[in-house]
Amino acid sequence: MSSQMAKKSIAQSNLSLLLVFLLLIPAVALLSQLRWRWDLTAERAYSLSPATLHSLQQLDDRLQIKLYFNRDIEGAEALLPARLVIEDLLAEIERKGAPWVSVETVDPTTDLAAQRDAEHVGVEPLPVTAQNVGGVSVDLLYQGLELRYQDRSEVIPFVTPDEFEFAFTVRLADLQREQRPVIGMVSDEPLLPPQMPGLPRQVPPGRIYEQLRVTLGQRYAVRDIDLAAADAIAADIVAIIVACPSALAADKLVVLDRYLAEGGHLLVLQDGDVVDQNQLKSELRPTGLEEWLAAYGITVGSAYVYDEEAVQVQTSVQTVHTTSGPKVVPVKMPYGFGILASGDSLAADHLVTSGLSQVALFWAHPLQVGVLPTGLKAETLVQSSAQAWLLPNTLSLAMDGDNVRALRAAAIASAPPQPYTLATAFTGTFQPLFPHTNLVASPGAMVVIANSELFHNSTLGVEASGNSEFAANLVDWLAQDGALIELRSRGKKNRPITDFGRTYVEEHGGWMEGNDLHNEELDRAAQDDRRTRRRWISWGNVVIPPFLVLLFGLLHRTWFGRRARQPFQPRATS
Amino acid sequence: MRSLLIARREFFTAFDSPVGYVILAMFPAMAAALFFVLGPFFLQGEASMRGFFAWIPWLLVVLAPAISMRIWAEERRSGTEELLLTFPFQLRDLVVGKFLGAWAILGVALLFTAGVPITLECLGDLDWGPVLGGYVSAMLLGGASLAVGLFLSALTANQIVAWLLGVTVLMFFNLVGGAATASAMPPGFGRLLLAIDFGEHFHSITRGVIGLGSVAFYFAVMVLFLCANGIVMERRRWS
Repeated sequence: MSSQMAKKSIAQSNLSLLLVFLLLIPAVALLSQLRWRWDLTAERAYSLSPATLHSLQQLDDRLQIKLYFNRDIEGAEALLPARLVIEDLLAEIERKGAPWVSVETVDPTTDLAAQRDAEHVGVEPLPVTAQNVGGVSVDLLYQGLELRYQDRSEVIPFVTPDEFEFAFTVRLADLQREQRPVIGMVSDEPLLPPQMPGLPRQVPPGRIYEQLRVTLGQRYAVRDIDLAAADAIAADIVAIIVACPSALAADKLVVLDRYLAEGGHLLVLQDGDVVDQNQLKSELRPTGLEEWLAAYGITVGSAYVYDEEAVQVQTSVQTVHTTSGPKVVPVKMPYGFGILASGDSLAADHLVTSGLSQVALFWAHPLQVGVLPTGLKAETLVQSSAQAWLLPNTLSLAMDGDNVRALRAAAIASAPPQPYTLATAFTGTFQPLFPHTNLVASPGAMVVIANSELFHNSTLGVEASGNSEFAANLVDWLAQDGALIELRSRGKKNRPITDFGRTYVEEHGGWMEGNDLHNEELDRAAQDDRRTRRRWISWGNVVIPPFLVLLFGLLHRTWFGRRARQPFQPRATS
Repeated sequence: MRSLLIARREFFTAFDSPVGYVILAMFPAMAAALFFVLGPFFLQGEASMRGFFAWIPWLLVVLAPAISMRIWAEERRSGTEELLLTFPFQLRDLVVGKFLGAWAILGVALLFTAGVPITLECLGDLDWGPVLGGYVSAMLLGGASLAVGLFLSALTANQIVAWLLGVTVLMFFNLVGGAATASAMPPGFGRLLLAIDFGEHFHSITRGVIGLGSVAFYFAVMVLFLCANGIVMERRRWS
């Protein structure tokens, strides 16, 4: 009887295990397909942004997405988890864009037709070199996208997981509208020569904002406009950049005045001088905007802002004797005229600057905002640090050690330090300063930056400066495409740890020009300090937890040992 | 409720011998050493715990069987297993209770690594979302690993054998995803291998995204191995 019960019980258990197994597989598969997830990252880096969701909601026809993607890459297996983020986000796009969005994934390395398609549409693989037993092999990494909507298509030749959503959303926005929005550009730069068939277009050296055009060209059509022309400001222009023109004539100002009063969007780079970046000499050059801006209470000073939070520039070189022989290393010093605005210097509550890590401004001027006309609102976007002074624009701008030190001494001796405004955004209804006929007043926006060098080719070329992102954010904000600003900065926030070596050098007076002995000793001491601190942190984390565990164990055993030694006392019964 | 009583007893019993303390001390020390001393944390210079959590699956390969090895094997070796099976508990309570006790020990071990995120917060601006995700996934991965270990512990009376079996099986579950990208692997089968890889699900959570699929996977593994554990004990009850 008992044996029968045992057999029955065991058979039931085996059956239930089998049932559990058979139920769990479809349950897990089903739950995985639902793709419900919680994004815990501070910037919601792995979730679709409101800009993308908005674009998906605007779909009224089928959007076909073809992902050219191969998983099996010899030598790049470690990249797979990061690469899968693209598939993950596309799945979410498909879910949120239902029923209009369909995603197809093809592997051009195993599918010849897909390979031909990839070549045809312009999806470009990235060659990956792998070292293996048989020698070196080269594999192709496909990570491109083709989007088809109505009769139009857009291609992302190769996209990294970090940039995927921005690239996708920009392309989708382009597909959804008939034409790209246009940014007008007013400057004194020479015009581009006509395009010759089969030859690359030569950019004249004086086109100092060409890199800015390239940056903005990813999203907009950038058009040079002549304000003197009758139809200067066409209807498709969403914003105008006035890039430090030279003595703008009154008739041109009238056009700008009307544009702004009728709800236009202006970015004004206002500099009273121009700096020759090779000679490091400044030359006065009024833009003609001074009086017009002053009527709105905006004044740009002629002095330069000198800031202790500055870009490090190479002032000279020095020879350092190391164990492997003498080594020539550059000596860098903070150049006070190269303001490095970061942290509190960038408005944290403004869409344009909240996601930026830093902005570099060379030879910037103070921007003063007086009493604003009724209906206008001003918001400071960028300002110097609190350790800033004004220096006259007649001083030498040279970047050699002597001059850098002299500038600092002159700045400190000049007056107590204070923060200076460098860029301000104005919104509201701009009352026209010239008489216009048939004018329909409407709220507009204008950003004034008291510096024109921050968007020069040389400054924008430095990726780490942050200026390129600042320019794109400004134009997006002016073009009222603020949702994309947030998207651009997502996942790009650096979270550096304290650099002990640098802190040590700063705390001990910094590098001294020409004093090799001091610099060597300081460098050695900083390295020692960095090593010591890192060792303390590392071993502290290794040793302290076991110590706490053992301490807890000791207390635990002592406590229980004492209780165990106590004679047994039966509970009193009533 | 009875499961909780058993879990409580299991949790405190672990600290009656020095072995529990050694395990508890070794885990945070090894995790911190691998991250700070042997890892490239200071070279990378970024306040991120991804490097820390990258080691967790491998540490759990060793730690989880170390916690679970004694749970059934010790009962069997000391002869208390028969007594335990005659107690007025359902087998389900017994298995779940022992599992929860072991899981709580793992939780305490993970708690002792809290110094790492605190240090990183002092050194830079740490994003706490992925940290939370990392700890949640470590608990889930640990739970799945313990369920496997518990099942293997029920198969043998020898703790060392139980530990070795646990390490071997968990190694398999952590390495199987690597085979998925082998060129000789058919794509469908490769995808299946990726789906059962413990680390694959773990890393997707440590980047800060808790997916329902990954959570369901870990709970499914726990349920499956605890059921298998129950069957082993059921057989033993009747043998």
